[in-house]
Amino acid sequence: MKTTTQLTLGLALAVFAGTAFGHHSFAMFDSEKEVVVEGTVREFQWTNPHSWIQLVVTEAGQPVEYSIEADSPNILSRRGWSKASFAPGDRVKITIHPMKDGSKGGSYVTAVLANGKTL
Amino acid sequence: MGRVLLISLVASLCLASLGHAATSSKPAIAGRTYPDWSGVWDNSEGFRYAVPGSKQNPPILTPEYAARYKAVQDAAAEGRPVSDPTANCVWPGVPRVLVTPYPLEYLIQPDRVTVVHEYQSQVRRIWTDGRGHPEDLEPGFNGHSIGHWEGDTLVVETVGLREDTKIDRSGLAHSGQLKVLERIRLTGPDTLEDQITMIDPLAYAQPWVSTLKLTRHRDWQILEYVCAENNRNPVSSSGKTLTLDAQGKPIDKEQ
Repeated sequence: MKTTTQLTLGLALAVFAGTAFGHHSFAMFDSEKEVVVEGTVREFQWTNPHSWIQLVVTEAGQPVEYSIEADSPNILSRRGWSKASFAPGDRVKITIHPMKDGSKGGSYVTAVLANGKTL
Repeated sequence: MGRVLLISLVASLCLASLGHAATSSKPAIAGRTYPDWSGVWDNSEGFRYAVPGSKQNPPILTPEYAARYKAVQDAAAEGRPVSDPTANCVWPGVPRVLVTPYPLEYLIQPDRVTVVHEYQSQVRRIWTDGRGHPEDLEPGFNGHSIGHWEGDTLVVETVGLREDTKIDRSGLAHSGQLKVLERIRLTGPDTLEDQITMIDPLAYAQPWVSTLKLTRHRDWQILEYVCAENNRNPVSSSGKTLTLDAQGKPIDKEQ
């Protein structure tokens, strides 16, 4: 019973966390699943309608680039982000809602930055 | 009320023409004061009130629109493409622009209230000079809005809305007969509500009322929002919202 309650709560939070996105349907992301990807930032696009983090992750010994979609600079700047929140070369751990079809991408949930802080 | 406003307007025009006929072209409504809606209004809770998907306040649909909406929901559940034109940076239109989670500001003048939405840098003009809707109205994304003041409440009526915009990102539709009524007023020093009534005899079995609650931030500014700057979620020819990589190639397995 406890497990069920926690699962339900987790789902509710996941749905709520996704509501900030304003631009389009996020049906391509699995909002009920969270995956942590760890790697090196190649590029941070601080742009509208969405910001993107290009993260190079090593999978089976090979570099693989993930496209991680975050909210707009408008919304993120009011939450304390800036164009310097991620810089090329940063080693970070990012929690994402992965693409439903298993492609190398996802929507941003949270991250542990190079300096150990959570964003 | 419209008549009172018109009388005031005519009176003020007469006064203006008596006083400085050559210089004054702007009608001012003599003696009228307006509520202080200055500052920037946070609408980030908008989704929670006016989206059917939130389950908080679902509309009662007519059988035809209920069947259409179910088909959209079924398609989404099965992973089939559900078209959302805003993914291609098309304007959301009224009323969807009201529930985007972006802030807005109100600019009050005697003859109009201008609403500046940060989302897609949208501007809505609500005419408060006593005019009616044009008879040969061409449907538009934001339609044609007229309003009047009832005390410190702005009462707005918007018609002439294109039927191909959606109410929200879940894909709920409306017809070209949609009429959107708003009652906007302060509910506290820094809180404002916009009570929205959506009347559409083809789509909704009864008027659908939803109330947005906004919070004032005097230190915020409306920022630029240029949707075409770096849109990596375009809609494919099959109607699917894609996800592009940094080189502009879709990463989706199916397109």
